[in-house]
Amino acid sequence: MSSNYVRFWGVRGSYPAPFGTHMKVGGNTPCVEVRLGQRLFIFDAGTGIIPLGDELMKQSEIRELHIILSHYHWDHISGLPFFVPAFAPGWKINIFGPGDEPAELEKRLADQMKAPYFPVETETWLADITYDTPHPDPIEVGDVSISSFTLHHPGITYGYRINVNGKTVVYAPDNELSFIHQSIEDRKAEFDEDERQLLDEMKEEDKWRTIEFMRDVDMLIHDAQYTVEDYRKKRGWGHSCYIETVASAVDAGVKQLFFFSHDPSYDDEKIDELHRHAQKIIMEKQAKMICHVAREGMLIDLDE
Amino acid sequence: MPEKNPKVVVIDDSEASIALYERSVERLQVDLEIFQSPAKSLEYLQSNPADLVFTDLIMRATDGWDVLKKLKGWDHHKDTPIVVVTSKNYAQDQALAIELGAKEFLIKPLRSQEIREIICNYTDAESFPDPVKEN
Repeated sequence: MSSNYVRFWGVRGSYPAPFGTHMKVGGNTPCVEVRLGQRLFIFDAGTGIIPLGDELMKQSEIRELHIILSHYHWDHISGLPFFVPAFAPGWKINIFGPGDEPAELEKRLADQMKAPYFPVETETWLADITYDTPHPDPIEVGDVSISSFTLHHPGITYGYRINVNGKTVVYAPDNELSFIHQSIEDRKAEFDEDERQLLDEMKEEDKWRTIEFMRDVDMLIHDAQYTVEDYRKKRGWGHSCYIETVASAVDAGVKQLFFFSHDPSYDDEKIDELHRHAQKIIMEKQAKMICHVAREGMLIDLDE
Repeated sequence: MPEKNPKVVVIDDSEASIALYERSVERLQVDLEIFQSPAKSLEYLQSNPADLVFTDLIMRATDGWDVLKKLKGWDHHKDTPIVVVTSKNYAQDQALAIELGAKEFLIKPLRSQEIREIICNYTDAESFPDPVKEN
């Protein structure tokens, strides 16, 4: 196995989907491992971090890791109370997430393990645990730098960009693209003619501003939760329609796109269907981008 | 008539939004300071007072959340009214912005008239005489 890779441990949005019909894609909530030699970065701590923790306990080479949280919605932190390395002595775990100071991060994570919600509290964690904020200064670990950017999702939510061997990987698990476009259309009639011209400019400008974080990225892991029909019903929930994700990624010159944060109600067949449509869109746009469905266990070699 | 024009600070990295703010104050006696960089706006606000601050939330690097938290931590801005104007139409964001001290949480796009009303509501800005009506 290459020493630099990305591995998906959890790819579902919202809540776990442990159903037989969903197993080709997987049912765990967000967790993505980025391994750079002996350095281990874990993006989000959804239920996918539980099997990753079990796997880590079987080896002895690595005893330090970095958990980088996009935000604190349950599907992104609910695996932490079951992450075995945190309960084991000899481990060093550095946790990063939105917040002004380390104590704020610690409180947010500790709260989900307080009685009566969980039988043991974070005081039972035997690992050496540190907390820090990833914003606005980047996370620096040796020669690795991870920068944050704000996503369009309820509350303070960060996406992350990491440069590896000249390649850029971007993790944007929950992000509602093009939200303002509908807001503009909904109110356009109230504006005068000059203002309407500015609104058209605003739409065009927003299109480019919102995809700036994905420009020319080698590997983009991005929210593609809804179909068009479901997005209509769930606009304002903080997730994207897969068509918007594909179109934005093509416009931004992304090389490989990974659909992420799959809706828990969508089975394997439905996600395959969305994937086929996405590939058709890419072909019609005559783009070279490769679109994947992020699946549990999928491993992407960063040295290739 | 006030001795000095009210100072209105706008923090937004969208050119079109800025054009809407500029258009909205054409007939108001206010001094408008515009920043497309939140970091630069904080440099300015650290040593300058303001009568009203409009800020977007999602911007590059430093964002509108950083602006809100920073301003409310500075004694000379703890009473400065801050109005968040954003595309993030989420209840969680609204609650957080108000908790952090924002006076209002408004969703883009805003009409020039709406911006004018907010300015007049939070400052003692006066309108220039309307030349059409004058003639």
